Amino acid sequence: MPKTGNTATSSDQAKIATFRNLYTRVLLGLQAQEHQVLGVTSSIAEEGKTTIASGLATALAEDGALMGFGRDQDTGVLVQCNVSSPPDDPRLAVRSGPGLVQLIRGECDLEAAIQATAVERLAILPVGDPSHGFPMAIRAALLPEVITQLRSKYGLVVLDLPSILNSSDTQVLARLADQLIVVVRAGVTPGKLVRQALDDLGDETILGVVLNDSSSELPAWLENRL
Amino acid sequence: MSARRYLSTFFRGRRLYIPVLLLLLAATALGTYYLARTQYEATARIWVDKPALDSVLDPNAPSTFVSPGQQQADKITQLLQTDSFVADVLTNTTMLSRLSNEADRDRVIKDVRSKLSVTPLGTNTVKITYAGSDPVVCQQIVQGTIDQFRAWDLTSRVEQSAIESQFYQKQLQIYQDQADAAAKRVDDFQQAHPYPDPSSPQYLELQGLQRESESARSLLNATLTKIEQANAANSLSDTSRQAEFQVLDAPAVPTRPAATLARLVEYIALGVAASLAFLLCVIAFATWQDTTIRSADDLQRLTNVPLLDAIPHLPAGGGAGGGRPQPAGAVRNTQKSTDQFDEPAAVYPSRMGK
Repeated sequence: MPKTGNTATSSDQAKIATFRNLYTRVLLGLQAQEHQVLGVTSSIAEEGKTTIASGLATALAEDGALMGFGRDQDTGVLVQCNVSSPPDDPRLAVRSGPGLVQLIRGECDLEAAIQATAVERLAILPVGDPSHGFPMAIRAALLPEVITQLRSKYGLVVLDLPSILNSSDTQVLARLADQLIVVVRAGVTPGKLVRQALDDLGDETILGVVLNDSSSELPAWLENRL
Repeated sequence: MSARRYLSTFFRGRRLYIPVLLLLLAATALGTYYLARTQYEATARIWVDKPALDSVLDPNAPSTFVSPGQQQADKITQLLQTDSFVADVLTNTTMLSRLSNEADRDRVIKDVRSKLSVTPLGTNTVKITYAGSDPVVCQQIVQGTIDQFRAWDLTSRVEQSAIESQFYQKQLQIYQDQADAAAKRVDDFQQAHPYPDPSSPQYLELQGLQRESESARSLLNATLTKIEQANAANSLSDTSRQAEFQVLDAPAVPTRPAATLARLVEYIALGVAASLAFLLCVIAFATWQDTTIRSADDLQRLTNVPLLDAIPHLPAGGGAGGGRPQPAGAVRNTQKSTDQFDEPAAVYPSRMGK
């Protein structure tokens, strides 16, 4: 089990605080509907879905919040379904080896694919070697079974999904999630594309939208008057 | 689109917009300075009086008081609205050659008209000013305006008195005939009834005929007086004009550029207004072009899906414990500039170092 990081630094604590509000709302939403698998996606690439997924998973694991929201297990797992961008948090770094692709293809078992992280109460299921045909693998019948296994072992399964409009893989993977979060990066994503992505997913599975990189360009004195 | 969105566009691009605005304002200042340096102004001040014979010639003139200064200024202003008068003004100037070109003619006349100003200074003084880039032309145009107005006024007076004289001459003949007829009736009656008894009806009839004759004679005399007055006006008009229209300050060729404070303020105000209007148009266009989602309000307008949270942009370069992350709850009070958005989803400082 790799331990690439140590205890949470003050910077990490600040990030946890940043994501605390988000995970609280997410857990409240999931708890109300007894959902356990949360997918994080976006309309297009580069909107920060991996950052939000890993930040959310890390923050709630650090806080040990799962038990508080009525889960039997206090451990969460971050499943990397996005081949293009691994998490940047050094505490979530993974060693090379089998991952989701190999697991679906039956080349390894769940225990061999899942890796512990430097974050307490958080495991990660890396994507594995995508050269083995990620698109074909996720369309295999074994994937729902893998998700079922994860449901039984973890209090919360966070799927870091590809973007909706860039890949049809997301439509396949999104069906495995009980609820979805759509990340919208402020000042980058055109409203038209957000609308199109939400239409593609269907409103009933969407838990909510997270506005990433949000900041007010107005000075405080003006902001307070508007 | 809300005002917030337009304001955000401005503050986001303020590093571009403010220098552009400053450049436009600097251009305005330079333009004003240039205009001020190249603007010459020739001025004439004229003393005007009410025509001495007006009350004699036109006793029925309206009694409402308009000062002679205002009256003459109005006349000059009205004349300047006619192309023929302005063309006459330009006759003795170096701009005359430009009138020969039909295409230029209207533009030149319009230009001259816009630069000439006639204002009453008091009850009896009128100021005529022309501002332009050529000092000699300035002087020539003001002098030309005075000369042409004088000529026009004189001509119109002479013509008016000639018309009056002709009219009264015609009336005179009629009144003369009437007077003669009335006198003849009196004579005829007296021959038929010499020395009538005062109590007789003939006496009363004679009195009536005498009254008619006197009335006709009065009318004839009044007309004769009018004719004499009209003739007097004709002969006096040239000399009376000397007193009624005196050039106190003759227009001189200006030797130094002149720009009035009012004109400078006008130029600057126009420049500032145009600069601000341009900037507002650019901001409106940039806002209209920007279809991206920037705030919770934008999302709410787009969809009913709830907004779970707004994750702020965290500053780069913090490293472990070095950054100053901002809580999501404080996102609405953060100030960010556009150049901080160049790294996608840079929540983790480690990514920024890559």
